[in-house]
Amino acid sequence: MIQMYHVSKTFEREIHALEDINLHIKKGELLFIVGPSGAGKTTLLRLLYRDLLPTSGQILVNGKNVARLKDSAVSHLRRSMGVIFQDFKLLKDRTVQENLIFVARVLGLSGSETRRRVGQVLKMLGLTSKANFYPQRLSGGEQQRVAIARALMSDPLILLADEPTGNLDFELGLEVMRLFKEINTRGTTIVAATHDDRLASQMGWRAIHLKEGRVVERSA
Amino acid sequence: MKSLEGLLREGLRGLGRSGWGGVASVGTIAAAFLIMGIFLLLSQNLGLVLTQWKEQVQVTVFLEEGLSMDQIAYLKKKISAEMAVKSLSYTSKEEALASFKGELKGQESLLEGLGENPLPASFQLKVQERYQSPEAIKRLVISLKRLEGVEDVLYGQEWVERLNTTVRLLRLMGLSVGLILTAASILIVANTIRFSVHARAEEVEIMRLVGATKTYIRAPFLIEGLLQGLIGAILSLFLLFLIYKGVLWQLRFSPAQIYGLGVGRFLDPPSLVLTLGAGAAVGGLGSLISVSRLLRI
Repeated sequence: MIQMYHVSKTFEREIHALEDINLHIKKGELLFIVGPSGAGKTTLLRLLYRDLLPTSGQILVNGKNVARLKDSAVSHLRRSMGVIFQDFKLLKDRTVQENLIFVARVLGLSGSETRRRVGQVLKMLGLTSKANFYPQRLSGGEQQRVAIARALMSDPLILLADEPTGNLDFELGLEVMRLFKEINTRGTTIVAATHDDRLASQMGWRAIHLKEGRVVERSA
Repeated sequence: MKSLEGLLREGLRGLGRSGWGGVASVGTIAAAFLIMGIFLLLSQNLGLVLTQWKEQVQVTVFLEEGLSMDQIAYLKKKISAEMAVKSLSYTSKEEALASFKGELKGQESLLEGLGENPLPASFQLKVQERYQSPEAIKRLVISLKRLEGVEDVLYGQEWVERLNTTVRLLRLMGLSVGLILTAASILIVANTIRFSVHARAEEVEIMRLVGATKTYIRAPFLIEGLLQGLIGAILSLFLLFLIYKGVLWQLRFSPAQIYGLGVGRFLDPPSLVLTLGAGAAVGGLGSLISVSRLLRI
């Protein structure tokens, strides 16, 4: 599903965010990318949804070289993915439901499809009673779940999560992980970046460890 | 894909949100187009006068005193033979006096002391269109003056030329001032749209990352710019019409007089449509500058 060959990413002024990353993720797999902040986790994810282009190396997603995609194909690629951002990126002036509808519009869902899908993801994440709340009125855990709900709107093949438990205590973090497990059993490939070693080892999923832009350890 | 109605609604909402920036955009476009419109209107109306005058380009040939009928008939034949002459009519001394009296209406007594009729007989010539250039008319006048029995030749070409130059100058001025202001308008729209894009940066970012197409992201801003241009153009036409009415009123022309002169016509429908189209184009272009710089996939 995802292949990275000798991928490096250098930002301006010779900052090497990633160096010589080789990574293969199979369809339906669940993978942790573990590392301290600044290790290059976010950069790696951004390369996958083509928010960034690699300085060198090849990235294949679903058999396509992401660096060579036309604009329209980039849109298409991103629709096949759900992305959960570290800072959630929820629209503050819109309710939970409106945040989801906003994505449905972009995806071009019809009115009835939108209602069905919004109802589905709200239920799945236990947010039905919060549908008309504005994000600020929600707790960190609830906002996290809204972010996940939004990422699931497109029923994605791949779910990319950047620090999905970063703002949560350990228990809530485990709950999110159980949710990921559930999503994963429906066939969605999941790549989750975390700084939390403990969480990664507790779940017993495959993990790669990043440090200063390099893979330092592979587990399971 | 969004519906046209949805796009328009978003464009309008964007315009509403743009506040003073939007006012500045619409205002400069209106000012630019108003100035161009004034020049256009002036040159269009003067152009109309010009066409009328051109149709009437007349050369008057005054005859010497005491020519015989035969001599006059011979002259008529000679003049008709000139390539440049379209048609000619003869006015005798008596006819000239009668028409002069008619013009003096009620003050005929002024003529009483004159005794003998001082007015000369004359031919009025109409000139073929392709001979209406200043050089051709001058050549005609010179050859007419050489004819035996011709006292003098008068022609109104100088006025036509002067007016022609004025019209050309007006167009040039309108165009150059207009172009400068249009360029300024485009930049101001670009700037307003830049603020709009920044104000909606979060939404745009999310749209991008969940897979919106380039068109989907850009269209609302393009429509917003287009609407600014269109509203500016409409405003300019409205102001131009008010100014035009005001000027006519100031001149106290009666409609009959105005139409008699061939002036006092507002912009013709093609010019109106062109103005609106140009307004939309200016707004769209300004918006496109910002959108293509700021909104990437």
